Amino acid sequence: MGDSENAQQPSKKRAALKEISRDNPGLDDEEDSSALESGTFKTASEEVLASRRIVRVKRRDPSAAAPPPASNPFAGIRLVPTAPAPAPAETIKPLLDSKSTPSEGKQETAKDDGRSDITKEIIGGEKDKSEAVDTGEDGGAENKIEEETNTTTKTEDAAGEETEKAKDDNSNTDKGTDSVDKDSSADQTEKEGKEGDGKEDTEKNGDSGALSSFHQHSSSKNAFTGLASTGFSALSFSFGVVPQEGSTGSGSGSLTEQSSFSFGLPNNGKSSLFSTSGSSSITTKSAGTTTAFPSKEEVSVETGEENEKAAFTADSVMFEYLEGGWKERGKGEVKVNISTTANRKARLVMRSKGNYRLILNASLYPEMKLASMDKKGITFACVNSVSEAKNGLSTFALKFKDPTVVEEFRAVIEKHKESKPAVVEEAAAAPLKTPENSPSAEDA
Amino acid sequence: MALPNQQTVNYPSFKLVIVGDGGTGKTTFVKRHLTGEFEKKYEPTIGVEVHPLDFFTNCGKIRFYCWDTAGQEKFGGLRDGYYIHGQCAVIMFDVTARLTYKNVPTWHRDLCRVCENIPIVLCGNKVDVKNRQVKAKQVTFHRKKNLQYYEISAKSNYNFEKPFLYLARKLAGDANLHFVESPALAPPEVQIDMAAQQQHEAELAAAASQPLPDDDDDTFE
Repeated sequence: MGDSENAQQPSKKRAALKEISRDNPGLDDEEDSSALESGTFKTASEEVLASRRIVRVKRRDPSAAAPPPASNPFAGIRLVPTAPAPAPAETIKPLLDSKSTPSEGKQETAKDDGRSDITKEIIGGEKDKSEAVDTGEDGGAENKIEEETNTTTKTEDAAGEETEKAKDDNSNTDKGTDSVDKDSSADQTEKEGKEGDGKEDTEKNGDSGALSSFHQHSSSKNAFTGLASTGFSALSFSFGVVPQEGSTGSGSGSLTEQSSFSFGLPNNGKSSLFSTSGSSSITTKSAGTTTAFPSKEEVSVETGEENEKAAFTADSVMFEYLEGGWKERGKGEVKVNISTTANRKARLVMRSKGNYRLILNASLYPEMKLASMDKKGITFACVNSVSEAKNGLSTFALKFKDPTVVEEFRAVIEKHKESKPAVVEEAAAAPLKTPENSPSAEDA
Repeated sequence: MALPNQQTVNYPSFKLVIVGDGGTGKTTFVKRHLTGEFEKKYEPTIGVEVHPLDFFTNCGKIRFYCWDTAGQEKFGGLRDGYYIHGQCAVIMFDVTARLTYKNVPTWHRDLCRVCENIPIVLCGNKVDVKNRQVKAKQVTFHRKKNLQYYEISAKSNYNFEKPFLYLARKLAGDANLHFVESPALAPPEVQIDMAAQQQHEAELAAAASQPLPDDDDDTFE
């Protein structure tokens, strides 16, 4: 007994995980039911066909088609998107009842962009689904299907333009272009003001995306994730395609309104700052804990080298001698900087290429010794202010492009390591060790 | 985002989750940024290691808390428990091992399950290797999921700052954000202790005789 129970539980757990994962507990259920009861639903399917098509759009599993019909709520919802606009409802019925009606649906689709997309997809979905379902059934159903197919093609033509637009949208999003950035930024700022409000964000998103029509559709409609997804898929195909069951799909019934947007977002990953209901809880919260990105305003950038002139620059690789071996510290441009102020202090500065991280920042000093290494290398000791822990001298090595650069570097160091203000040299004669006496204290 | 023992900072900081198969170079990549070192030895990460990584941008300083997660399943620790509250992510694969690319969708799925809507960068690492198994053309996953893709090499530093730059831009909502030189304040004056100097002479001599690591001299192209 105990064993058998244990054996079963894991599977249950998995199912539960999927549901938890988000928004589509309903979908999971439907899939399950469909798998089990696929045969029984045929009649219901036709009625609901229109609504299910939406689910079809995903095209993942043809078998899944059956489940949607099972969910009666759908039937009520079906054309909710259309509810504002009567047309879609008509299109659906015609499909079921008579062949002639589809044309009406087509015309109407032509009128309304959003609808046309939806209807088209619905029809397409119907077709797929009906095929899947009907294969088990009779030839009679197939006739209808064929007719429907015709309609589909027509509608597609009508909707062709729309699809193209949608593609364009996709391409934009794919590139992660500026427009997206702007959107996200706008959202961000807004979000800072009011964090938790998913709906507002959604609306704004809709506007900015110029998808407002879609937004309305999706929001107006139903609890159906599927519908929402269709609407979107029409806009940009990646959206429809992407939905990974639980994770991407934001839309459980309750979420659908906001989910309309979140659909786009998850895929893009573009604007983390977009907060839609489902995700907002996470994003917003995190934004709250960490400091939000301050402002896009530029900050005055100081390199710390404003009053210096470089006496030597060259690309190099820096190593540090630790525990009997060399550790690379970075590649980049090493500079010997001479202060343009009175004291003429000299220092070594090096940042790694790409991330501009400071890896070497050390004063020259009169006792500094340089030792050449085999080919292209030179080593010396200095106090690198970048390495935090140890304050003492560490041994570094620089590797240059070729030996002539090494000699050049050596010459510059030798020249400037002594070139301190006279004060310093006096001080050097005196005990240098106490900070009070040190030239730096005076200079500062 | 910070671990309890990490001090918080007064500039923007973000939790960055780095995932990908074992041996693809996540830790090496982070270490490269952290210390400049290129670690050749493979030591699998156990669970997760969190490192703060600061960048200076034209919009100010920012910090990524890099959650360098274990790639190997057996060392996975909390696994996607580490993703919680992640604000951006890097998925790493190894262009010299096809399997690591095949597993990218899994990593992506797991990641998206926990973190919706976060900016994600897909990184094909080790592009310095001559005969790669995953060609650039074969990398298509990012298109389906609208991720950013970069070919990087932690060894040669090729594109190695790009993932951070992309994420910083996304998080700031500013496509023009760029990294700037980190300020170099005046270093402390050196006060040479003669004894220390003597002692150091010895080390210097030893160091000078020790050859520098020989990378393939592709450093200066």
